Amino acid sequence: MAKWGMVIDLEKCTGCQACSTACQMENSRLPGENYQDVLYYTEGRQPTPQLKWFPRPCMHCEEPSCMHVCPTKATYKTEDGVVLIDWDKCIGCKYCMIACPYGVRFYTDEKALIEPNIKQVFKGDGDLSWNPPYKGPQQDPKHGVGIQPNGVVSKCNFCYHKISKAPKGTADLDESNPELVEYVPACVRTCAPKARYFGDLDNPNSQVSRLISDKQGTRLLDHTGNKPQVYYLTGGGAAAAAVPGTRANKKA
Amino acid sequence: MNHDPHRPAANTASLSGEDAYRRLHALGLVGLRRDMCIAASRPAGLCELCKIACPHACLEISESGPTLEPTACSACGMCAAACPTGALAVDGVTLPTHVPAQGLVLACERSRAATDAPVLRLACLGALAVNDWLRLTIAAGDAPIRVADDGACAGCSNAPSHEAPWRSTLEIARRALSEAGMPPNRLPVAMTPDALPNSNRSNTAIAELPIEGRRRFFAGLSRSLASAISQAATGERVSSSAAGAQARRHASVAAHRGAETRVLLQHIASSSGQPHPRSVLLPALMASDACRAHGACSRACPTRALHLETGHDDGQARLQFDAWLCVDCGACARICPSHALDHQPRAWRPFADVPVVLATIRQSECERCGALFDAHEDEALCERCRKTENLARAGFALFSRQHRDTPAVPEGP
Repeated sequence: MAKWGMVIDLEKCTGCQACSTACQMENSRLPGENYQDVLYYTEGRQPTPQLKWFPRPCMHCEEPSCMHVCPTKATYKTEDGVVLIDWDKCIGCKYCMIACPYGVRFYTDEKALIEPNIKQVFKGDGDLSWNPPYKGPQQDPKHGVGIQPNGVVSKCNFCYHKISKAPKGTADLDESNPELVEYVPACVRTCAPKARYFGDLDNPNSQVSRLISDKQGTRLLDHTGNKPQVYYLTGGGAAAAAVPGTRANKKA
Repeated sequence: MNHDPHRPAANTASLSGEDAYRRLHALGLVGLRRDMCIAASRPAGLCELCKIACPHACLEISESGPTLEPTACSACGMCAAACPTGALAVDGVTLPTHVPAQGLVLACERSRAATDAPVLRLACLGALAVNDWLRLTIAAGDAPIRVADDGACAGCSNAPSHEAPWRSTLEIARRALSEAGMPPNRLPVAMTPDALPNSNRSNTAIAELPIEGRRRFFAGLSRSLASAISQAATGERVSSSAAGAQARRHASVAAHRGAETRVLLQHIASSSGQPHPRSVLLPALMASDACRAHGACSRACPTRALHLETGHDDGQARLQFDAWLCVDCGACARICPSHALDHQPRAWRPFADVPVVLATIRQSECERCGALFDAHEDEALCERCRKTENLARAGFALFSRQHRDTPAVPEGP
């Protein structure tokens, strides 16, 4: 069984947020509630301020602290290494949101992030939180896929409705391969500078595995022991400098 | 067992005349209302009271609620009596619509006690819950309610411990009734067969009583009391406390029994001239200062005994607790992320009006995302935004440390 993981090359990432927008469309999310966002951070003062950023999807940890605290076992890890929420079991207690060190989980019922409240404009049928005018065909509450119902926690599912259909034994879901493009997560597929890679971490020959070993892929907050399955490449730290400069100075 | 609880069973009407109950097993006499069952809607292990109560170990708790092994079941009704929400019903456990003026003698089917007074025979008197004793006493008025205590329980398979299964329940009911101001001579009482009213000591024919289901028995009570009980029992709280979809989607179980007990005891107290019962048998819950209004406990509570009330004008969140609805599952204390709750089991405690406010937490708006959060130490950002900020800081520290590893720029002379 594959162990899906993601590699994000911060040398390539331009912080354009196309991934966030693609995620929003793919998963019927409201603005400000998309499963993945880009964190910006300024450091230093004039004359040498630095603007830095990195994208933040769910880390799909090997040891997910959210899963361990869930009282109803609604959060679970699939055989192929993806952390999902069973919306039918979730009681919305939000303990997982407290437990997650990466802050990637959403509970969207309480307050509209953006006015006017779009949920009121497009009212959802029955249980669903809203009725997006551009909805995808997928609705799979057991895997936390589709339009979010009310009263549950949600988060990035690695586009499980896509990757779970990939042929068995696929090493990498590469958007440049026409046979696999439909199985590639939306953020990976849409990334214009191709900063994202998605593949099987258990396969030593996959591109993601090679990138992680060759370019010293790092994981965020490794001291928590959560062992994220999302790795960042910094090109030996190049991303730490102001990124436009990095790109200009990059060696061929 | 390929039993599907959703499939309407063929013969459900006879289950205490309440057709919302579905048989647990085609051959069994136990019926379940899944919408009221805690075990059916919550993780396994949260409520196993029916399983514990069953003297024949024929109930198991699966993910979809209790399952029945019908061959061992004696239809004693103890599971239904133990159920805190009234989700179980057992065929044959019925109560009279009225109590005759001579009073009522309760006896089990094994009992050979002879009496002139009208007798209500049940498969096992363990089937009577505290509420049933309270109702019988209210319905009896001045007529006496007696239990034929002839020691038949000692050798009965329904009482593996040789302790009469009804005795502890009766004691609780008697205590509750006297705390509510019921005079001692009107309390239900256990009597040896010799003490039962009997004119000629022959095995007299036992007067037949018209019997009905529990809900019909309600109708025999005074109209106002019956409506008060049904209001309490239909989970009026659940529908009104519409914490969004939560109430609808993961329907919290209305704790029928506790709400009923409260109405019944209040009725008894007011008819005996007391404002309320002096003390009541209830669990207690305490919240320490560590409470940060996460609300996890109120979501975990299967009966909405705990409720986090937000959206007040004063910007305060209140954690409210209604002990009558508590079923002692302890889920709240286990889930609390800050270990702020202390759940204490049932004991006789002074009466207090419900709900009790356990904690009041000042809430303020997050400067970044606008979400309401508990501003414990005058933080400006909510927990999620703080976490994001820390993550960003940690991430960039990590990435720049790698950067510094290689070039090692000397700082000054």
